[in-house]
Amino acid sequence: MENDTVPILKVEGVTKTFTTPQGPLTILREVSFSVLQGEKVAIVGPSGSGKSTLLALIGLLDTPTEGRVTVKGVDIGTLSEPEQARFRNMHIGFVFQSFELIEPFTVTENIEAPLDIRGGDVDHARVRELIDHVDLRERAHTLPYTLSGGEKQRVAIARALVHAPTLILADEPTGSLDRITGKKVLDLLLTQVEKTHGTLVVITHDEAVAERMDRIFELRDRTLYERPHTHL
Amino acid sequence: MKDLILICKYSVRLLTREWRRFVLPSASLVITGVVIMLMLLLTEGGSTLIGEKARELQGGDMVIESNTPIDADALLNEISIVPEKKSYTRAFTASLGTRERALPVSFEVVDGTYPLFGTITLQSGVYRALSPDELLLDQAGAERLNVKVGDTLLFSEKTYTLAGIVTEEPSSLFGGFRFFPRAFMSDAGFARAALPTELLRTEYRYAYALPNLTDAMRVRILAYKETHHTDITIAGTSRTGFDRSLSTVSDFLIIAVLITIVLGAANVYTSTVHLIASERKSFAVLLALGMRARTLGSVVGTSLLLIVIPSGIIGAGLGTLLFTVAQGVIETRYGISIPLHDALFQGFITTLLILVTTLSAFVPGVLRLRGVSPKDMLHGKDEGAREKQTLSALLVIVIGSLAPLVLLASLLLQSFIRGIVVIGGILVSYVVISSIFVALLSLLYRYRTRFTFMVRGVIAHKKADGVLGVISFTSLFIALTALATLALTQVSLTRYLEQDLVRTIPTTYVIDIQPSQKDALLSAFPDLTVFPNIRARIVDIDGRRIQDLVEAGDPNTDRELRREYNLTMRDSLLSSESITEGVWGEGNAGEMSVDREFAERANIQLGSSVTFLIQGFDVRGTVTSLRDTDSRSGLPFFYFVLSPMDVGEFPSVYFGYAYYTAETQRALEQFLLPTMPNVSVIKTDALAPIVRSIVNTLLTLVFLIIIPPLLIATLLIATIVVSSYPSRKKEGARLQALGLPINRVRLFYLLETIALTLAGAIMAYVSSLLVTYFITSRYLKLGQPVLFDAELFLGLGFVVLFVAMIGAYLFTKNRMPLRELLAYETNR
Repeated sequence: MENDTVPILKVEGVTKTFTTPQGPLTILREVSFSVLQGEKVAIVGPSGSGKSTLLALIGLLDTPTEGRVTVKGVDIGTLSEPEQARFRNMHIGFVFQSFELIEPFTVTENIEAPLDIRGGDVDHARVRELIDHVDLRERAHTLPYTLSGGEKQRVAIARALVHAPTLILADEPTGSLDRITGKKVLDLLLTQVEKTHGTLVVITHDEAVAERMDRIFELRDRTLYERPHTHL
Repeated sequence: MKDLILICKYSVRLLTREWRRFVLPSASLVITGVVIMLMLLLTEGGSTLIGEKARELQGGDMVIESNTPIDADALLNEISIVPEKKSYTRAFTASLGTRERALPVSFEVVDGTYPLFGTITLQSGVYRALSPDELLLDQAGAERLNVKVGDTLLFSEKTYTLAGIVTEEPSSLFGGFRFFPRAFMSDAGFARAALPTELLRTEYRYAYALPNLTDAMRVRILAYKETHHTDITIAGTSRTGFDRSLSTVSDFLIIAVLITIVLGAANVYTSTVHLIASERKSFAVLLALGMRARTLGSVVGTSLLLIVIPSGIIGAGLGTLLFTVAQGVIETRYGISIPLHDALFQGFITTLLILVTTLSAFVPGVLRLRGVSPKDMLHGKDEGAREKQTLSALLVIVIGSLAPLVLLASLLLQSFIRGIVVIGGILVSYVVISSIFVALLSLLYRYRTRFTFMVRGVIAHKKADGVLGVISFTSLFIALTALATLALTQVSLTRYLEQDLVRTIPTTYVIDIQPSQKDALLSAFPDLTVFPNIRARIVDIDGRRIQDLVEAGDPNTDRELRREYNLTMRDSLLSSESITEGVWGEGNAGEMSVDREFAERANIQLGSSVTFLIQGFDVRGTVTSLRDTDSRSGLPFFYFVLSPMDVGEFPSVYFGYAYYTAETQRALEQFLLPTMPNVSVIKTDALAPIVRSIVNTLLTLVFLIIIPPLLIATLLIATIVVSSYPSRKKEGARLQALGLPINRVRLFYLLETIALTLAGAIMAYVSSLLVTYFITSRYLKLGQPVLFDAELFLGLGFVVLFVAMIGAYLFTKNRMPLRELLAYETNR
């Protein structure tokens, strides 16, 4: 795969400290790394190591205590809340472990939501194509509560890709699924990301998932280390 | 025993940990308790008061009334009853005045033993037998004549001294509602006036004190009454008009209370369902750990029970407090002390009724626990039973709630049939409105793609609210429609009384003009238009013997036909009348015109033959025309207009009207006062405020009755808002993650929060316009109703604002970072 030489995501010296009743609690310290366009990256680590916190900082869901996160050359710390929302809508696609589908919306409506929020005409052909790709044509007009876990995650993947984002962030995308369904969902995610030439950052504690990425980072002792790929 | 301990332990735990979920149903139950307690205390106190005051109100244990003097003592002899005391009085309406002004007054000529029961209270001094040149006047009369004790009054060319101003009298329960002021004079005082009795329409009343009235005596009295058609009433047994009014008011209160109870039940149901829905996972785990479904149901039921009993007690306490406040107001305004009876027992009944209310809602609510399966839950299908809910839930609510509610209604209304009819009526209203709402919502949902993302989202959320949203909407809609209809009707009535009516109504009515006085009066006041007024009873319509049919309780014969009617005769139509069928008569014998609406009620058609009994003679006529009357004109209105050829010979009393200035009115009063005191002048400008005050008082009472259902309906909406808040918060976070700015997310959920209330308010306003139009145009005939009322808009806006404030408070107090929101459990 040919990667661009300019990083699409750049994390520089990021520290995140929470205030707790017991005093300040530092989850991440001086974390730095970068991801190039089209790269697929895994961030692994034990539970409570700060993986999800890091993903939230990259995805503009939270702000770092120190350091800088740059996505597509934009220092996201300088953006106001509406600008952050707009940026997320244009450039980031999320896949959550617990799917996070909007319950009263049908499958199609959930997938269309980022386009609706962006405003303007919805590309229905693109939505239909994605629904076909995630193999949910039969369930297109049903509500989320009727779907199985695997189906829900396929909807979430389609929703994350529908607006062709620069960066796709997946937090334990197979964490709620059984092994076979999880593999199918991961295959689908990777295929779709490759098709759109997107950049993928996956948070996982599943080594099998991590091994399918181009690079693997490990969060240990509140900081991030790149580790060699075992299959290379 | 083990189970019991477990149930108690877990229910207390559920209540203390999830207390927020119980706040709104508790508030609803407290409101329901207040309403039930107030209703019980008011109806019980009212009945006790009437029972205790029956003899005072009526004037005696037994009272004989007649339009002509009779030998009542002989009647008592005939039925072998010896009274302990007796009092003869007579009542008539006549003019009383000063040198400056006059007004029609209800005179009561009393003997030395009056009153047999109760006392007459004077503003100052003590009541005593009146001398021939004295009289008493009530406060309203004294104010309107601007006189004080010791002033001189004129009646039939004689002067009288005002000996006292009456503040309370035994026969008047709510003196404030008397149409004419009241005056008292002695027999000697009346004799001094030397007024020919034939000029007056007098009612003679013979009252007796019978302390040892036995059942056998009652039977003899009633038998005499039946055989001689004499108007005899026995205190405490005969149903007077007041008793009937009280019973109607009591039934109305009970129906209002039942509506409140149904709404309270809906609120408990909603809260129970939300509790079960949000705690599904925990409940499923308990089941997985081996708890029996029945035990789990008992845990939920016991935690509800823990709020029901305190709510009932608090409601009963607040109800008693409100009752004592109302008691004080009524005592200050009307001088009547409604007794507070058995407050503890009524409190117990209230709590019991609250329990039944809760039971009616809890049973269908807790049945949803059947949908909780540990297997499904542990496999992550946490919404497994959702599809079953919507259709089956409605059916379960209906069946599970109906039985206790019908039982409750039957007990309160003291009739199983009426209980079924009232609850059935409420239910039908609910089903019809719910169906319309569901149809509208489905239509919007079907075409939701035509709307913007935000509107589409709101529609989808409302659809997702399911049966709970439908119940909330329907409850609020009913309460708001009732409120808006009353408000618009009140404004329409006020406008009618203040503007429309005043423009066309005659300024002066003159009543009780005797035939011998007519010519003299008309020569002095030629602008006065007079109509003869002949009392008659209908005996036959097209061969149907009406009085016999009414007596036999024939369902096709209106009971109203039993009474006497006023007939008139004239040659021409009034400007307020129009013929709808047939032709106006030419004055030939046998011609008759009948009011169209009355004809419909009495089953009279064009060409019908109607026979009247007038002063012992049968008078027969054929209906040659049916006519409509514009009531706004204020012109004299008669159901029957006959030909002078038929009724011209009967002696009649005349009724007149005129458009006089204040000056001419004064001249007319001063002309009548000495020479024709039996004739009364009614000035309509003085009448309108009295009518308006009565209408406003009644409507205010009805408003007060509507407030509790409205409060509960609003709380029902609030329950949904609060209960759905955690999931909405999470969805807001999802939308933010997808790129919707926080302000738009807040706007979206504010719109979603107020959507039901806003739609309910708008639809209620539109519906109330239609209902008001029907009531004012068709029923009250007031012409065009008022379509806009700023205060009503403010009121409806306040309800929407209240719900919006709850939503705004919930969403603005949320300071949780987006990252945490996305990891947040929705059932917190």
